This record gives sequence, structure tokens and C-alpha cells, in this order.
Amino acid sequence: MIQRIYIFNLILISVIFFSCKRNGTSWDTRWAAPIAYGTLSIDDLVQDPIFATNPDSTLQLIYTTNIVDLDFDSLFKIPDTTITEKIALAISLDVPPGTSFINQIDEREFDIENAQIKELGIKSGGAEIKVLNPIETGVYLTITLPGVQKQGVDLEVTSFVQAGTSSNPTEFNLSVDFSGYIMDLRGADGNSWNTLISVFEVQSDPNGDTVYVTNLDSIQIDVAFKDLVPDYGRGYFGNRVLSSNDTIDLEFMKKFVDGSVLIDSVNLNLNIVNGVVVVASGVVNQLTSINSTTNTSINLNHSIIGQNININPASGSWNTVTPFIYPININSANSNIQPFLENLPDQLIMDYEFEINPLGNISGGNDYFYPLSEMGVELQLDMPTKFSVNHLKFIDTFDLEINQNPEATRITDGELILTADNFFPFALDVELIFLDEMGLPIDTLFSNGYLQAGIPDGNGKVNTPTNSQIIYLVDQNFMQVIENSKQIMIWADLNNSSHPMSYDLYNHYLIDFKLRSNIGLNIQF
Amino acid sequence: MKNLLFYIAFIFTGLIQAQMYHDFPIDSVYEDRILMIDFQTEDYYGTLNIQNSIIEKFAFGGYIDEDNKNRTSHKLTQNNRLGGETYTQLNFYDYKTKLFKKERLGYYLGIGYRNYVNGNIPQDLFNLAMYGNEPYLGENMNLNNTRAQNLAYWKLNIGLYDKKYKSGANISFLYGNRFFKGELLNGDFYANDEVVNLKANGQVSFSDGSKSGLGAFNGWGLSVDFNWNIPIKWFKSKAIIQIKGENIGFLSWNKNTTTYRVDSTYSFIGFNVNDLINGNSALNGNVDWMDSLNIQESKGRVMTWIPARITIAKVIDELSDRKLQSTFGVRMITTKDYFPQVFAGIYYRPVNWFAFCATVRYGGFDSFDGGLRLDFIAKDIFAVTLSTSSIYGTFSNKGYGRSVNLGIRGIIR
Repeated sequence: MIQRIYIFNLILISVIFFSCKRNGTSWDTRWAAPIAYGTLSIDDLVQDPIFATNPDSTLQLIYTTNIVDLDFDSLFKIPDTTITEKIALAISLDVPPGTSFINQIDEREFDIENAQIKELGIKSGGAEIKVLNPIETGVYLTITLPGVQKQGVDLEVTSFVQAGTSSNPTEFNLSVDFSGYIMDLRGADGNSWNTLISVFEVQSDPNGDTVYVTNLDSIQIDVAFKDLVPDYGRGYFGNRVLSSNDTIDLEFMKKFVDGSVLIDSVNLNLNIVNGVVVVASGVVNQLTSINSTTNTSINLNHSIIGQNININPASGSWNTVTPFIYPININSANSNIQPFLENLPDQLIMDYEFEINPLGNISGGNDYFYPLSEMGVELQLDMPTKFSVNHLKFIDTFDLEINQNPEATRITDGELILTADNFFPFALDVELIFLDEMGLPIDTLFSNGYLQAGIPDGNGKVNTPTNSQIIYLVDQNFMQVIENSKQIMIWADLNNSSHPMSYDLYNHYLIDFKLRSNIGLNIQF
Repeated sequence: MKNLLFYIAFIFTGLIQAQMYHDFPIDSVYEDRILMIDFQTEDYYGTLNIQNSIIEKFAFGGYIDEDNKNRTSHKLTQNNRLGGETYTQLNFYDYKTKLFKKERLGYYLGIGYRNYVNGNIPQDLFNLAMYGNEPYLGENMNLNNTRAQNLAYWKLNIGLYDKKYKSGANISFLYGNRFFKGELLNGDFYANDEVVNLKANGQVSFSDGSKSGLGAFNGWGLSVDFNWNIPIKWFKSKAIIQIKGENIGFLSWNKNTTTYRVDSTYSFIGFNVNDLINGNSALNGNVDWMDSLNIQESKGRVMTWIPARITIAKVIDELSDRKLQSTFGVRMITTKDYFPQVFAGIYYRPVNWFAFCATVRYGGFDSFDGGLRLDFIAKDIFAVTLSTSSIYGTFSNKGYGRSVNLGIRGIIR
């Protein structure tokens, strides 16, 4: 009887325990806490250090980038070249041990198209050497390249190759690194070009036997020059034309997705840079501003477009080489640069053509390029940050990985409260878009208004920030959204209520903000 | 239906607990007995200021509405003790064996289960947990002396007893089932719109969570119980004074017991977005709160004293020829949250097969309440006793505790 009561007790414990768990205990709470804070200056917003401060504390936008960058080695390629030599005695004879029985000098020419190179510095690359020895004794093979020097010493390689037979010659392989060597390509007479001298010397093994070598026992040597990249050259570089239609991505501009901006004034330089001691000419056929979001493009109208430009050689040598710069000033008065930039381009397309030695070998074979020689087009923007924005939309995306248990954290309702002191003379609406792992939006937190703009004084300068507050309402699905989100996209709308009146940006402008929460949580267990 | 289950469970199993002022009345009959089987459950809890309406929600589920929270919150102070016990015990008393050839010396074996809960919930902690921090922005929340303890263990006991007056003592092997102990010696919580400050000095230990259920073995221990029933003269009659000590011992929880210690002050003002911009994303889930709060974790054995129960009382004499008897006494349970309890009552046995006892008491985990006990006695063969020591609380959601006890005794001659 007692046992039955006890078992009954245990069963009842289980029944009631699990029935309680099913129902759960719950109650509602309300929690307020700071979430984030920060100070955003214009440098934080743009990230790249492109602003300088003028004496009057206004900001100056100084942005420099190479929109065309030509490596000289892309103009001037040394093709992979293999030199094959078969060296043999003139007559058949016995060769005692330790006898130098072959000493052969050869000249080989590199096939460098349309150029007559006298001297070449090698940045990288080398040669693969393969030797086949049919002689029935080991040999010491010495390969010397007179005029191929590093620190004044000729390149010389000596290797021992085991004995072989006529029917089964011994193969020996060797790699030689040419990095840092300067090659004299003037040949044995000193007046040639593209020509390399080689010396092959063969000595029988001093510890071997006397062997009979016939004039048919030729040692074969293959020297394969591979991937030679020069960083110095002297000679006549030939007449070469390089034309291209390049697309230049302006990554940070991709963050501006909508709206318009009015720029007060623009000063832009396109600098054509020639760091090679060679006469050249060039022409910019087209420069186009492309906004891939709005799918609009604007061609630059300027007198330089389509006009042939003579480009002088650089001066100096080695570390003192000074490039010749041909500046093209583009401003509001001589071009349509303002609408060109107000298009908010995230891409530029540049169609151009360069010609080296357009007049032939007028330097007498004294063209030079050095390791510091560069050739290209540099864009240099130097303009005051005076502009007006009309609902300029800006987006930026950050990774988000918060592991939450939506079942444990049950939001009933709530709000995220953003409070800010804003110096910038434009209002700011910020929305938060949560993205899944595919980058697709899951949910968006909309604000109930704008962060108010700073109010400029009579001189257009904001001295005191405007404090304002916006609220984002969150619902019970918010934690599920957070759980499923892999990225958060910040979408901002910058607007100047007195557009098109433009204002300068000052170096003290920033947004000092705090984000806090006031969330209703249903506690359950 | 739920309420019905609640009361059934309360009576028979002791999910929550009651306070038993005395066992079966003491008799001095033993000569013709062979075996006595004694089964008892005590299920009670008591709280100083937290009403049953909330405790019931925690025990059996349901939504705690604002009205319910408000009723309790307004009564709370910084000292709001609470506690309870599930006591289940089955003893077999051998009357036939004469130990050491002594006529009155017998032995008994028993098995039981104990589940203690006690703690203190300061008003500010209750408010913080039940309302959140939003209503208290700008206020300092004092969390000092927050504590909670739960011990659950099986008990196998063997003891000797005096067959006439049921005095005796036993030693018990304890099979540790579940353990939790947490205490915040000093704690402060402060929040406003810009900062959350938390100051904490305390520790939490708990047994291996991977082993759960009534059979989980997480430690072992030893304890002794004694029960000394002293017959005395009482006015023109006689009475029995009982001095009783139970659960005097310890439990050693095994090496998988986890302890967290914290002694730090932490301020949170939000994540710095400038870090986010600079690539040090604060939103990447890698925030180490353990480090931030300077919480140190360790694993190892933990020894605890189990709450001992000491009772000194004038108890009921079963064989008294008086229909009306008095009972009174004092009880102490050795936890911080038990206030020494005094009780007194009258026992009336109008007929041989039925008696009842009414008591009043003060102290314990709660404070003042009354008790009622009904005894049904089938000669000297079978008896059932049903009692409560919280008569108001047991039947009212406005009370501060509940208590239901059941005793069943069978005797083989």
C-alpha cells in the first residue's frame, strides 16, 4: 500500500512538473540601456584622408589618384628565349683527367620587337639550364656570360655533370636567378644591340679516367631565359603605340546612391606623367563620368579632349629621375567639370593613346628607363568643400553577427532612440536595413524624423550643434531579425533645407550621437 | 483542473512544502508490535512578503500581471526571506528484534528525499526582475544580501530507538541530487539614459547540470538525526517533552560543480561606433562578458552544511486519558533565512478514532499563521494524519506560504 502511494507520488510529480513547464511563467518588463555612441567627423564618414584644413578652418578636398598607370615592363617585354648550343671537339682524341678540352664563345640575340637595347637591368626572372653529357667521364661545365654583371662581377656558373654515353647522355638541370643583374647587350664588338655573349668551358673530371672523345660527342646545353622583367633599360625603345579604354572604379563613390549635390567650384588637374627618358606623345580621346546607379554618363568637355600632346622625356637618372609632367587644368570655367562631378560618378572611363618615340630614334639609342620611372595619368582634385545637397542618399554596410536566442528574448515592443548633436548644415535621416547572408533585406528600421541640421550663422558657419532626437520603433520580430541578419546597411539621407544655397564644411563639424533602447521584454521560463 | 492538481500534488508529493510541528502522537505501546511502517510527507513554503499569488505562478506557470506584481512590490523591504522544503520519508521500525538483548531497544531503516529552498530577495531585485530597469532610471538599486540556495538529496538511514518512547538516533548516507547556491554580498545596479553601472561581489555554485532528474548523483554526504522524548510531570498529569535534531550533517558536491566568482564594478555606455568604423566590430558577437565583468569560473568539489532542523516542544501523548492536551514549542532551521519559530496549540480527541489540533505560530520562513491537524486512528493498527501549518496561506492567494502534510502509519502485530 505504502509503496503504491509512493509510486503514485512520483507519477504525480512528473505529471505536474511537465504540465507546469508547458505553461511556463511569464511577465512583462521594460528595459532601458545605452546601445552605442560615437562621434562622426567628415573623415569618419568618408574614411579616406582626403581633407585638408584651410587657414579659415574650412575643409579642402584634396584627392589624388592614378587613373592610368603604365608599368614600363608592360610596354617593353622581353620574350622568353631559349639558346641551344651543341659543343664538340674539332677532332677525336684521348682526353686525360683534368683536361680543359672545350672553350667556346657564342653570341645570341634576343628578339625584342622594334627595339635596340644596349643595356638591360633585370628586376626578376632567370634562366633554366639543361645539359646533356654523352662523354664517358664526368665533366665540369662552366658557363660565363660576359657583360652580365652584378656589382661588377660577371655571371658565371660551374657545375659537375656525371658521365654519360652517346646513346644515353646524362642530363643535368640548373636554375640561375638573374634578379639584380645588368645585361650588356652590345655583343662582342660593342656596337650591337639585343645581343648576349656566352662562354662555355668543359673540363674532364680530374679524378676520372682518360677517355676517348670523338668529334661527334657533342655536349648539348639549353639555356631558357624565362620571365625576365626589366627595371632598367638603355637603347632605342622603338616606336610603340599604346591605346586603351580603361574603366576606373571609384569605390567610395558607390556609397552615394541617390539625390543630388551642387558644387560651388571645382579645380581638377589631369597630370600626364612621363618618368621615362624618351620622347612621347599622347591624346585623351574621352573622359566620361558614369553613375551606374542612375545609369547616367557625362562626357568631359574640355579643349584637351582629342588634342595631341607632346610629352617630353624625364630628366635625371636612377634615383634622381624626375618625371616630365604635362598638367591639364580643368575647372568650372573651361569645362563642364561641375556637372561631370555632380553626376556623382562611381566610374570613370578614359579613352587614351600614348606613342613612344613618335619621331623615331632621335635620341641616338639613348632612351632610358629606371626603376623609379612611371608613366601614367594622375587625377588631382583640389577644391573647397562648399556644396549643397538635396536628399543625397548614402549607404554603407557593416558585418553583423549577434548570436541571440529569439525564443529567450521576447520583445513585445520598444524603441531605439537616437540623440545627436549635429554641426553639419544638413539634416540627416538614417534608416537601418538588416541583410541576410545573401545580402537581401530582411527588415528595415524607419526613423520618425530627421536629425536636425546645424544652423549656419550669417557667414555660413555652424558654431553650435543642433540637438535632436529620432526614434525607431521595434516590434516583437526584432530579435528574430537580428538573429537572421549577417549585415547591417546604414542608409542615410543628407539634405540641405535651404538647397541650393551651399555651405562650406569646417574642420570642427561632426555628429556626436548616442543610441539607446527602451524595450519591452516578456520574460518566460 | 490546475488547482486541483496543485492541491493533490501538495498533499501527496511535496513539490512545495509545509511545516510539521510534530509527528504522530507519542505512544508507549510496543510489547505486541512486530513492525511499524511510518510514511510522512511535509510540503511547505513560506515567504515574508511575497504573496502566494506570485509564488503560484512561478511554481505552476501563468502570466504575472501588473496588479499581481504591484501587490507584492509595495510590501517588500530589503529583507524578504523565503524558503520551503519537500520532505518525504518512509521508515520501517522493527519491534521484534531486541538489540543487545535489551527489551526496548530496536532499530529502524528508512529512505527519504529532501529538497530545500531558501533565499532572500531584496525589494530592488524583485522590482528590477519584475518591472525591468526602465521605471528606475536614475535610481540606485540595492542588491545587497541577495541569495538563493537549493539542496536536494536522497537519504538512506539506519538507527536505533527506544520502543517505548520512540527516542532514538540514526546515521544517514546522503545521495546528493541537485545543488545551487548563490549569494550577492554587495550589489548595486544603476542605469540612466547614458550608462549602466553594475557592482557585484558574490559567487554562484551549482552542481553538474548535465545530470538531472531524481536519480542524478552529484555528490554524497553524511548526517545524523536524534529524537529524545522525555516524559515529565505536567501539572497533575504527565507530558512528553521532545528534543529533536534532524539533518545535522554535510554534503560534498563532486568535482564537476561549477563556481563563478565576481568582485567588480562594470560600466556600460554602449558600443563605440568609431570602433565599428575602424573595423573592430562590436557587433560581431565576440564581446566577452565574462572578461568584462571580471567573472572567474572554477570547477571543483564544494562542501555544504545541510540545513539542520532543531525542535524543542511539548508534544501530544497518544496514551493520555485527557481529551484536551496542549502543545507548544520552538523550532529552528539553520539557514540565514529562517527566523526561529514558536508555536502553540491545543489537541482535542473527542473519540478514539479522531482528533484534531489547532495551532498558532510565529516565525519560520514567513511570519504569523495558524495550523490545523486532523488525525484518524484505527485502533493501534492504522493511522492517517493530515495537517497544515499555514491554514490561511494554503487556502488564500493573499497568504504568504502554503503547507500540507500527510502521515500514514501502519502497524503489524
